[in-house]
Amino acid sequence: MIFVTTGTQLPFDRLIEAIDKLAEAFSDESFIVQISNYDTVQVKSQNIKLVGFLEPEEFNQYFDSADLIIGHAGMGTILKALEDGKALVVFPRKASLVEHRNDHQMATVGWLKRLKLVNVAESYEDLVKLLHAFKEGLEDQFISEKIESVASESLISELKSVLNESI
Amino acid sequence: MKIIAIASAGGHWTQLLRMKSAWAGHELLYVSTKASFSTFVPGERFVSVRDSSRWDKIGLLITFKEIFQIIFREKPDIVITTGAAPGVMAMVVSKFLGRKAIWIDSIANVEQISMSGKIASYFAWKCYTQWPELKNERFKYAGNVLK
Repeated sequence: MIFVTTGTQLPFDRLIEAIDKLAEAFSDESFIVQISNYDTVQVKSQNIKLVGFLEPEEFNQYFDSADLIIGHAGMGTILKALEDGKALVVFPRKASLVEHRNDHQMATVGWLKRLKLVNVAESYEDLVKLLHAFKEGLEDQFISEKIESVASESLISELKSVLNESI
Repeated sequence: MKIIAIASAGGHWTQLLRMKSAWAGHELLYVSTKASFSTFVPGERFVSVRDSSRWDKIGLLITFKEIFQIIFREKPDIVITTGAAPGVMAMVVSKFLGRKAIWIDSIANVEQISMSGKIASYFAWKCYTQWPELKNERFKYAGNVLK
């Protein structure tokens, strides 16, 4: 199963359309797609199950049981995938297509790509290529080292000292 | 010391929780925009406020009122946030109610400080960016949530 996340606030129809096409092309694969605009989206593929906002427990169940996560380039999805050591492909929102307020998702993926922490798809064709690679057993290139769920020591100690300073 | 840690649901909240060891042992109240997010902080006090964005003007007013009431009632020593819109409101309210507030700009803002962060910096006591290249007279750099 492939779990697709698009965030809770803004619609991301371009990704959903690409996933719909992807699900037709990879008909042996099932897709669960979390979307914010549940009422207005329709998909053609039989292999897609659409879900709206998921409570944390349900979200974790889908996340854990997925073989691959495809997500918008939101830090929630990215940090969770890194913490869990999950295979992840991100599909950044573009401000030029009114998918976000600015192009910070493009900048975010640029940085994460340089660190080799995520795979980036910017089009349907990219998704097809990456999914083929994934299915051909190249999973390793999709999984980076797990990260701990804590910020850098320098940030923690700075905050600690600032909190103490304020007493 | 009493601390309110507030962030909207999603990546802002995930980043906030990655810093929680910094305020371990203090009296705490967590605030986010989904009631079910209390499950992320078992055993801690938690309240939710209405979610809103800059495109939802009435929603913004309701969220603002809720945040004002929480900070007015709780009288925290420190309010700490990673954003987004509810975090900005918490900075504004804290300033007016004489509370010290800390803004940590999201790590997603790689190339420039967020618009929310720029606004928040006029109200916050201390501001941080997670990118050394972006530090300036208002935003300090002290590390990031990723490690």
